[in-house]
Amino acid sequence: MASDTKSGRIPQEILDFLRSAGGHSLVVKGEAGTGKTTFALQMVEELADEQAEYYLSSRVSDEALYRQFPWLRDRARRNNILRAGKSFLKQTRPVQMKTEEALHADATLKAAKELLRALARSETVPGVVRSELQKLEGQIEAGDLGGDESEYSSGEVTDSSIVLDLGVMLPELELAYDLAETNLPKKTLVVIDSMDSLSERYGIASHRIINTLQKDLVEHSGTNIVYVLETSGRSSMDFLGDGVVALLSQEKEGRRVRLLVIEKLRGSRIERWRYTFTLADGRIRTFEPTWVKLPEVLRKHSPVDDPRGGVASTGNKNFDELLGGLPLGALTLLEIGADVPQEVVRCFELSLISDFLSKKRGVIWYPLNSIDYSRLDKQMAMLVAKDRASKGLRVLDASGIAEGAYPFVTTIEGTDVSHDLRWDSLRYMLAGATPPYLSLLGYDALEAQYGQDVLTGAFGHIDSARRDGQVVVAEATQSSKSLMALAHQAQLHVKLENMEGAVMLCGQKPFTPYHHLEFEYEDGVPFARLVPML
Amino acid sequence: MEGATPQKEAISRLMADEYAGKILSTTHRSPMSVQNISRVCGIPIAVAYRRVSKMEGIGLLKCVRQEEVFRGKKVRYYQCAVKVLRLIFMEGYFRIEVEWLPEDEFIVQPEAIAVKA
Repeated sequence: MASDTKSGRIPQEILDFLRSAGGHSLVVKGEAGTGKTTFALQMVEELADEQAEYYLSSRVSDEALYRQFPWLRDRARRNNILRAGKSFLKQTRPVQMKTEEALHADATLKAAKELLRALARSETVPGVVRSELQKLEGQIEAGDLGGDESEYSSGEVTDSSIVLDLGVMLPELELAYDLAETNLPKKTLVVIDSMDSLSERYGIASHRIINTLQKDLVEHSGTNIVYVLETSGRSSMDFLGDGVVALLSQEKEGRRVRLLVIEKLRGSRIERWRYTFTLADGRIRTFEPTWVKLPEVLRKHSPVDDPRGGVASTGNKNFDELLGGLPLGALTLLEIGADVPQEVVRCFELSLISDFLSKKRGVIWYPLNSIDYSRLDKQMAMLVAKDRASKGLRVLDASGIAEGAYPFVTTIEGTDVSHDLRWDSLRYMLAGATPPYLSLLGYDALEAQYGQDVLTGAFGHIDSARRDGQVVVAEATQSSKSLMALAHQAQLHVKLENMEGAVMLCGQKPFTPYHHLEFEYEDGVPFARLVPML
Repeated sequence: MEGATPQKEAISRLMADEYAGKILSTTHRSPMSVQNISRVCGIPIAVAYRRVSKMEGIGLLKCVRQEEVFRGKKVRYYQCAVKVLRLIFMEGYFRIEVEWLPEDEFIVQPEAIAVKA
């Protein structure tokens, strides 16, 4: 298995659970399309260097899966050969034929038997306990099981193996035992995908099969087994597995939300039990909690080309690709959900402001949160050319504490918003910069300063800026009274949400799926990559 | 059912079962192991064993031979024991008539290995 196939990420505690001493069983459950097979196969890949695998699939062939996991095709072929070979070895009576052709066939059969015996090595390495399997087979043979076949569908029992008679009652399970035995003392990871399908195929209830494997292989032979179940609700199977992982696909305002929930990992500590994840690129990739810290030393911001005429860049080419950039002469709303870290918003703001300033454009900023001006001064000195902030940036401050201390701070009265945000006055202050200008307004702060109906007074500013072909970006949290009206007015509406600790971005206008923000410290302000939740 | 014996009652119940009919048809020409019956008829293995056990119990199937295979494991071959079975509705009653296969018509020779590519 090539190491480059390990590009996905599944929670570390699950891998640690399967790595810990002894055998463990893990139930993976979820509805169709939630990623159970992908999850199971990625676990096989992750543990490939430590544990031999046996992937028992109910799928006859799945080209899409083979493309994602190229090694799987070879394994499926190997398992089919071993399974057929096992049946073959147990056949005692040769075919009764008398022709010359038959004699030749006999010789071929004998050679094939030797080869298969070598491949399966079913008699050479003793080790795994088979008492429960034998008990199960005995009960089947006595007609004690399979009584209520209404539990199982009567669908065609098919497989892609060669049909050979006989002596192997449950060939897939027996092969799992054989492989686990052959691999001893090395641990084997058996994946049964799915248990429902195997149960249907054998006509034996899932819990009976799980009990058998649990006692023989997991408890007495140190084998790891992953049972894939095709349902997501709570069931008696949850009690049978040492660990239970549920994969959920939910809908939130028309967007898909994928969740991986660790319900239990017996004997292991669970640090984090809920993960959002994506199946983008056919791999499970769980999203880590978003934690970004602005470094003390920042490299100069590299300007990002405007996506096209009539729009300005956000300062992040990934945002531009997803959202199309910031429209000139229009309002853009950045809606900030509860528990979105301030540093995430600050990264967005600094990238945006730096991009405008580095293009010699002007910026009016009424910050959402109070700002440490000395830190901002240092940051601007690192991010943009020496005089860009003094010429092009105007941070509006109603407190008066920094009056005259920094050239980019403009003190305002803080009583009449229509006066303080008068567009022609602000435009005059940006005489050292070139248009288009950016007006970045934190509405929660405006409401705190001017009252909750600030929007009425601030509309004059928005309208003038829009008519003048400038960029207006309003920031508002979900507790802002202005949010609904701003959403109505906005041409571009973007949301930031905290989901299980991971910050997600989505477009409301235009509508986009959720994207996870993954910050990288490449250049300038920490740079956010967008990973879609698909 | 008028004058029904427990055996005939059991037969009539099994005749209503899709699997039992399939098993009788499949084993009519030559004896088969339960695992082969399961594969050929598309019946889950445990269900096939249970059904064959019931059918043998009431005489519909007969074990014609037994072979030892791997590590003392035995495989039994079953053949349909019915030559003719009639379900008659007359004067408001159902009746079942069975003509059993004569002893000399059971096939006790081993079947050849069937290889399907």
